[in-house]
Amino acid sequence: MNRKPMTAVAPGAGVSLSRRQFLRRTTLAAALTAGPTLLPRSVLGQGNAAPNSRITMGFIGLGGQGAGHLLGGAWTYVPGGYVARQDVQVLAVCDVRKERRDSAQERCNQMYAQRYGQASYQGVQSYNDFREVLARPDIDAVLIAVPYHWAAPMSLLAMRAGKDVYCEKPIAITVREGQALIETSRRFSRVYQAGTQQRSEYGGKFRIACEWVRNQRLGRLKEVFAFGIPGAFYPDPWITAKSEPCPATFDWDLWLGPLPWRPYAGEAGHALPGCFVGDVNWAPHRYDTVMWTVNPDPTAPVEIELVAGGVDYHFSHGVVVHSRDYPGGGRGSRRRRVLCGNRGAHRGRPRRHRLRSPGDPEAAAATGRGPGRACQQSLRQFP
Amino acid sequence: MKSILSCLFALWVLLPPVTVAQAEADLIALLQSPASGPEKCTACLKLRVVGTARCVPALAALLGEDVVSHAARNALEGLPFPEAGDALRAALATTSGLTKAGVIDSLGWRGEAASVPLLAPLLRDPQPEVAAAAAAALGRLASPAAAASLDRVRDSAGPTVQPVVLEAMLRAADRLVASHPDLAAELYQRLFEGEYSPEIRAAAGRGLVLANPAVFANPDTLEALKDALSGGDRFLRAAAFAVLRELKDPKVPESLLGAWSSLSPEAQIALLDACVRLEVSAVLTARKAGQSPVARVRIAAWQALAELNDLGSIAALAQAASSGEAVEREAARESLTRLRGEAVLAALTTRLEDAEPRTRTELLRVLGERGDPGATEVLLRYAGGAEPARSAALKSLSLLGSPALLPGLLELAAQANPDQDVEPLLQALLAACQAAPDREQTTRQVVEAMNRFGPVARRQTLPLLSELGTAPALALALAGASAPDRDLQREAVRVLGQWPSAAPAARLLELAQQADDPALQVLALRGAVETLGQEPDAAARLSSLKQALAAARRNEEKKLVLGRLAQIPTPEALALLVPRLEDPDLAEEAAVAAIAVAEKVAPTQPQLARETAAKVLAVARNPDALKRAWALRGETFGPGPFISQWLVCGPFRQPGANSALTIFDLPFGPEKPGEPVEWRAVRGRRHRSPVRALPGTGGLRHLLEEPDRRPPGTDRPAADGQRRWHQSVAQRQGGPRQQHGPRLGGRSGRRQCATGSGHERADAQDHPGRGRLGGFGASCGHGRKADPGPAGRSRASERARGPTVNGLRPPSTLCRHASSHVCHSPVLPRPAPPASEQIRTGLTASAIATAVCDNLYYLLGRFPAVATRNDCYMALAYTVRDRLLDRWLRTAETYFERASRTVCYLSAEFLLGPQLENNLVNLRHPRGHARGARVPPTQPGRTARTRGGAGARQWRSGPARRLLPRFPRHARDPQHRLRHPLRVRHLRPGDPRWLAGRSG
Repeated sequence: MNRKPMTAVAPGAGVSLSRRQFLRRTTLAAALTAGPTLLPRSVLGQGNAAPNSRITMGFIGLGGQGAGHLLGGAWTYVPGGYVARQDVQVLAVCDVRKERRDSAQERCNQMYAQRYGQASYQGVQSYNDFREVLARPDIDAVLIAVPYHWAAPMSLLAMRAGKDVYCEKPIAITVREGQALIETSRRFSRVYQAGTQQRSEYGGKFRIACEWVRNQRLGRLKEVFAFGIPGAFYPDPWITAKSEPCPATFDWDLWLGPLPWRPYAGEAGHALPGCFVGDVNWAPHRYDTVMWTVNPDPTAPVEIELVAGGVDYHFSHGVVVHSRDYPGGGRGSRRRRVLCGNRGAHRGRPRRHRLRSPGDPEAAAATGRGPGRACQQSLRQFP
Repeated sequence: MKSILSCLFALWVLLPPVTVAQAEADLIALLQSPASGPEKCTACLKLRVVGTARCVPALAALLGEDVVSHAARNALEGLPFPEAGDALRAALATTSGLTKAGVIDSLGWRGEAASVPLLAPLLRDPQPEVAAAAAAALGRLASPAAAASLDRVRDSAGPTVQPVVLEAMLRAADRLVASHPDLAAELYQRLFEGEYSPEIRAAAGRGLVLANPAVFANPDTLEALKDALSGGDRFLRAAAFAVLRELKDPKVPESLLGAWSSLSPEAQIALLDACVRLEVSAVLTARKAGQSPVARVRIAAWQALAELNDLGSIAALAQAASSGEAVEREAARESLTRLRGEAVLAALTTRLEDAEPRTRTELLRVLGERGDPGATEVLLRYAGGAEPARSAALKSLSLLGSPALLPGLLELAAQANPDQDVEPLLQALLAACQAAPDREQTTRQVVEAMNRFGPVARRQTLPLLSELGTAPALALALAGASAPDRDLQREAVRVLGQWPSAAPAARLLELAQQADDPALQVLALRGAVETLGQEPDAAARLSSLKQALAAARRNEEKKLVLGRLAQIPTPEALALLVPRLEDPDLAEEAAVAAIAVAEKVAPTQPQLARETAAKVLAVARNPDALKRAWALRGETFGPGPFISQWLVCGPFRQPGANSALTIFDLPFGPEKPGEPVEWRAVRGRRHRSPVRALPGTGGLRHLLEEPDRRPPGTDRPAADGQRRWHQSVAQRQGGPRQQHGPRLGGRSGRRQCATGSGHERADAQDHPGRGRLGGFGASCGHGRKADPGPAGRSRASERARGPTVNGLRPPSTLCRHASSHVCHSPVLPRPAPPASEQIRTGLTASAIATAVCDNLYYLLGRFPAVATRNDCYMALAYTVRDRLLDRWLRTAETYFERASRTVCYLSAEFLLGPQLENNLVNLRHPRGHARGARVPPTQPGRTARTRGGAGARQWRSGPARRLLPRFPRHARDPQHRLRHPLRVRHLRPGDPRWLAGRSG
């Protein structure tokens, strides 16, 4: 197999590595990132939040989601992005695509130059190799928005290097990776937040819906229709006949990272095709809120049943989560999470629900009969 | 595809044992065959699931092979047989480098304790990856022997291996806490006291105290924790917070309470949290925290007090809820609402008596938000008192919304002070009425009470009657409408106008016809029109509206009636509406209403609809009404355009052209003239939509065919629907700047020149691009005056809005005459567009190509040989902008005329490159929908990819990026890419091609 030299620069080395050397270094990544001693945080700007009260951040991965968080955009939850926050100081941007990191660096420097009144402000550095970001002792936290296979390894290395982490989902592709994240976060007392915004955003409406179900407003919970098959890592034969010259501004080897090497075939997005089954991208959102609602205790399902059209997950307290649409629920129930209790069902988008007081007679009025096995009536608690 | 694969895989897993055994044998045979690496990897993957001890030798044989070693050890790692561990251990002697590191890693994950003696020497292996893997594996094995071997090398390991050794020691210590607590503590202690990185030391410190909380018996340890909580080392601080959060020994937080005032705010919050969790003097701590000068500590205290259900803090909570910052007030209010138990009501009520006005208001509000019915009495008492407590109490009563409140509230209404705001009381009464299950009984209560009321109280409570909507309530309201008291009468009429049924409409009409008081007459008439909307019988509604129209004295009411008539889809309603078209004051409303009715009667009475539309076109000025009238007049009510043929394009290949961009620039059939293409007929039903005609093939090109059923010479309105081309005197007079705009919904066919010169142009035949979607005004001004030349044709003057014509503002686009056009761009080789297309905003291929060349020449001062890519881009951008100006300015004008409130949103997120593409896509459709547009190349000689004729066919295609995902993977390759008609590439900022020359 053709193993081309890698263009990634190891921290502090400045030399080209072969792929084999890269893998060796990756194996030793903990060693590379655990060493630095902390220095005081950056002292920048006047008339803003005190430098010591600002969180210094690095942004790793500057695609749609990462750049959206950094600079503001369609998929961010912070107006103007993190660069506009007074309590955050962005110090580093990192991407394996040169045009992305250069563009982000330029915009960040422009914004800070304007804010601080320093036309020549150049405080934001750009990096190709994320390990150089992690090696900076003046960075408190990193926001990681990278392809699926990199999310957990990068987060682990960041936490070992003493950084707090916000990582976009999917945060891991194997159970083992997920457990390692929990273990490392606890061991090093690091703040780790997964980018499951349905827990943290939308004015807490998902949380309220979750509380309602847990407080048995639907009676005892029986079934949940999660309408989609969750994603899973399923490595297809790792081979491709296609090969294209890789653009000079794209570090393909570093993009692949922990994946086995394969030639560049012109496409590199969230993940390479042929690696995953199901909806890896959205399933974390769906099943996160379902698990939050269904399973207050952090236990896994006790039985997994392969049925026609999907998978059923049986939990110890009798709840069954179906990975398919609510049967016969009509258009209002398609592609919606439907939670069925013995007193009613919650269907629809939690973000739209209206809450009624417990004594509200309308809440008790049945408005229709659901055809599900356990759904005898549908309440209007969450229209 | 992936789902199918996974199902097949799952079915394969669930096969009966005999079949599984056979499958295992087959897989073993495959592993032992000279199959390729990927095939063997796949077989290993399956063996991890179905393999037994029989497959271990075959897998072990692959451990040394570079390509499949990782797959083989992955399979062995998951096999629950001791033979697998033995095989991995045996491989330690035969492998090296990364392969050996992988084998070691698998031994660690298998938990093979027997491997410790083999792994311990590897910690000093010269290959660092092997040593690091051995350290990580020993950390996972976590036996005393493994920990001891790690401990031996922790200071002597190389710089790349040492961090792995230290973390492995931490992991081993974590796992040894349960079985060997002393050993674990010793490991933690060594790591904590060693000269290692702060992360390692902090993690070791955390582990040390969590493993053995007894260390806090030592005052030095407690002091160290205290220092760490407020200290400057952020790693130690984070570890200290983690300790407080995870600790289960109540003595530690208890000991720390003595140093409360010396702790940082964050440490105080963490300590408070620990106290609440471990129930250590929690109430006292929370109360102390409530007096903190730091707001976030106080907020945490208020939340903790609610958690602890401390009724003794009600005064402090009420005080906090009525003063301070919004966040803190909200937290205190929520805590007051969350307090639970029967004693809470009594405590809150007691506190009410001696509270300050602001605090009392907060407490009254909390009583409502808690929803406790027991608070009714005290709330009613304050509701009869002075402000601001009265309003707060009434608001809480409306939150309670209980029918039991009705008598008390009615009593309050009877005693209401006319100077007080009646709205809160009315809201509370309405809430009580709405909550009442028996409406008749509630009506009786309300009617009896109102009969006892004085005139003021009765007038104030009249809105309750329309809420109830019952017969006795109606009788009482009708009686009020006949009362001699003028104020009461007006209020009753107002209430009747809001009735939930049409029952009072007759009486309201009667009042409207007879009342001598103009205000009462208007109220009654408006009420009648409003309630008639509830009348289910269309005939009765029409008859009543006819009476209302007759009774209306002002135009405002007449317009209301016309609006209501628009909801009656009958010819009789139309007969009432059409005469009003002649009334200049009512014409606009009548036109809108008439066209709405005409649209509904059109399927059954098309002639009547067309006649109505013609009348509307003659008088109306409302653009929307004109568009709808025009559509109605031209509508044949038969089957519309449909897709007749379709064609799959590609694959696009040409020898020597390898890159996507090169292929993108090459013309292929049917764009390339003379190249044979195969059109296929659509079978079955005929559809307009490609998706419906050819399910699953939304991206295919197709022909939209529409037979021209229009007679020649039909009058057409201008783009803004305000003029007729044949009747424009101003146009006929000519001038240097004859102006006209794009024709809306233009169709192909023979068109007559607006100059009245008598020549007709069969433009559809001459110019096949002028199809249904691309049809634009064919009228030509035939300017009489010679064009003044480039110097006189400044963009500003060309874009200036012309004077009004017949009181109407013409569109802003310019007509350019053929003769002037030719003389201003003599050097550019380009297709000469026909005269009908030589307008500035023509949309055919040739018109746009000409415009691009013109802009390149006149605006940018370049000719193609020297034009850079940026010049070409700018020329195209100006060309598109010209075509957008009309809609853009019309929109702006509409906002200006209507004085609309505008929300302005300045965004820098949407880059200009995509905007150009979007604008190109939207060029064709007058409403700017994202329909397909065909835009010619900027190079001369590359034109006319449209098809058409008298039948007006037109290409349609959506943006390629929307269509690509529907195609299988191979279609995404450049050589198979669906060609989409837009020839604009995204040039990102920084791309050298931006400023490079043509050859760049």
